[in-house]
Amino acid sequence: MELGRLEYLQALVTEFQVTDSTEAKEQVLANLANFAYDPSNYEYLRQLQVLDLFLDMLSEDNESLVEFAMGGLCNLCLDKTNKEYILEANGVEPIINCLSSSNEETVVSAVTTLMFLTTPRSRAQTTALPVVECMLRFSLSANKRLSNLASIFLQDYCSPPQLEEARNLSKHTAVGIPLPKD
Amino acid sequence: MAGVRKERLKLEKIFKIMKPNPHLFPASCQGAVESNKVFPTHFFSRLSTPPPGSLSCSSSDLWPRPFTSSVALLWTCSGPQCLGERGSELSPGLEVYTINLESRYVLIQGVPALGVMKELVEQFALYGAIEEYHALDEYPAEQFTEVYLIKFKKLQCARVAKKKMDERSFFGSLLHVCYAPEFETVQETREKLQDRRKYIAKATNQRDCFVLKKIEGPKKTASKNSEQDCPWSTSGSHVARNWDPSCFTSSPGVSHNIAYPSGNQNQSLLSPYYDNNCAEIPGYFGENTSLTPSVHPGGHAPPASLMQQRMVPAYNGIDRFLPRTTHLQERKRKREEGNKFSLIGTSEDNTEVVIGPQLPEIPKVDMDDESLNTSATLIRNKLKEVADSVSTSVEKPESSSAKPLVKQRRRI
Repeated sequence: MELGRLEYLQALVTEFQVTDSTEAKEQVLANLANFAYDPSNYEYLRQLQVLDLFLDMLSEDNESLVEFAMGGLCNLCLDKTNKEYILEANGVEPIINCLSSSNEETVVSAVTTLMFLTTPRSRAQTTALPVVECMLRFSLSANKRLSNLASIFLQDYCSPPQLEEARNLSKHTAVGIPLPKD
Repeated sequence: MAGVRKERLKLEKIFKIMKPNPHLFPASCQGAVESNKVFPTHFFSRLSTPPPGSLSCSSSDLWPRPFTSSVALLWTCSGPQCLGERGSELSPGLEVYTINLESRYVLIQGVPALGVMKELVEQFALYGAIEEYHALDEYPAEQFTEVYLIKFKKLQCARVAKKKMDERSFFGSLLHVCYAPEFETVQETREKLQDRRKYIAKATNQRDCFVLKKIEGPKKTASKNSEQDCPWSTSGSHVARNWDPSCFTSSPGVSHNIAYPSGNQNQSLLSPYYDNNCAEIPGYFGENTSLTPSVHPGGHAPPASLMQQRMVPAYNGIDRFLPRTTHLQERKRKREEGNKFSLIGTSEDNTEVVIGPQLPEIPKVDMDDESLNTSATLIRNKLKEVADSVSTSVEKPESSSAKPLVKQRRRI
């Protein structure tokens, strides 16, 4: 059974690589991202370098691919091994970039992923000043999901000095990371 | 090379003409466990010929549709893999389910305006305890239909209910069920994320030491729930046993498993009384990060009477050999242990909105009989006096009894 599962996932990845059809890529990526929800698949996904695939897709122009890849990362990044892998691969930066996406799901997944990826070593990056400032703005959003997540980020992952610094920054700058369109 | 190209074209054709079939998904979801036995292999080497014993389709069918999301469902035992109504703009129907999309709140559209709220709630209560429900009068609805919001006590129940009830006919109308995370409070979202964290930690046997968590004492209800560590889809068989529309209780078959493993991550924060075995108890460990008061996600703890009922089976093997007073003292000790590691968590249990009779805070042990309760209270008070003076000698046998109790739960 385990061999069959690996084969199946391998087939998905192969299909993603060889197909020229955008729709096919989206479907495959969505499938892989949904598989990433189940921890029993993690070993195979790592073996098949799906984590790298997700990270690579974050810089695509296709909004759907970014959304699905970001969702996939959100699903699997809580696993310790996956987390370390993503951090080692400098995955935080492209995820932070996703905060400025106009796609609601992408942003929401990015906020959650940053929280999940926060470790003592990575927190300097995941809670960097621009990120905290962005979360401050998100926490005021009319989008309840986004504001909830941003509030949790600020309350649970940021220290009071960080919050203070970000608030001061907000006062002085007018340009920030835009809120996603609903 | 030509063979590969032929296969690729065939697969592309599958992708292009295939649209997510909402009527297909629920069946596939339900078959998530059974389908593990039917294991399609060799998708790509034998596209034209189904292997023997495979899914029953004619060879002219688009078998085995390896890339349908419904087939993807065959491979996962957990998580809401059904594609829902919220697709991306570019590919309608495609959806990636993350913890952010899921919620204890479910929105039900298409309910016929026939005054069937009670029946609707009863139907959904089959899948787990419901905390709140009400009609959403302002929500846009089709003519002659209404929209309802139901809040389950457990995310897992909401998952099952959504899967089972979505696209189901109800009084002649087709229901449309989706998650509604926008109704969550910040705290509910926080708990949801923490539960997901715990689940992953347990499923992958890992400890996440970074986020400081406040751990509440293990709830006794976990004793029953730990027995149910099985794929969620099989919980359907347990659900029907003891559902209650007024919903106090969580059906043990549903309130378990995926969302509520305690995870080894708790271990470092537990007292010496609890070893690895104890950390395996799924369920109601409240968990929180350092900056926030802990709130118990499983604070949906069943009433004391049911706690008592659930505790008894786990104690059965030991009951014969330990005097009853020892159990009472052990519960007291465990409560005290729990209080050591929680902040406001325990008290927050009482702020949970629960439909049904209010739980009395005291007595902790409810014998369903006034005289018995009085006796229990008297005994408890007496024990308290005794325990204070004889604490050391009593603790040791209790702590040793904790381990076999935990082990017993795990075996069952």
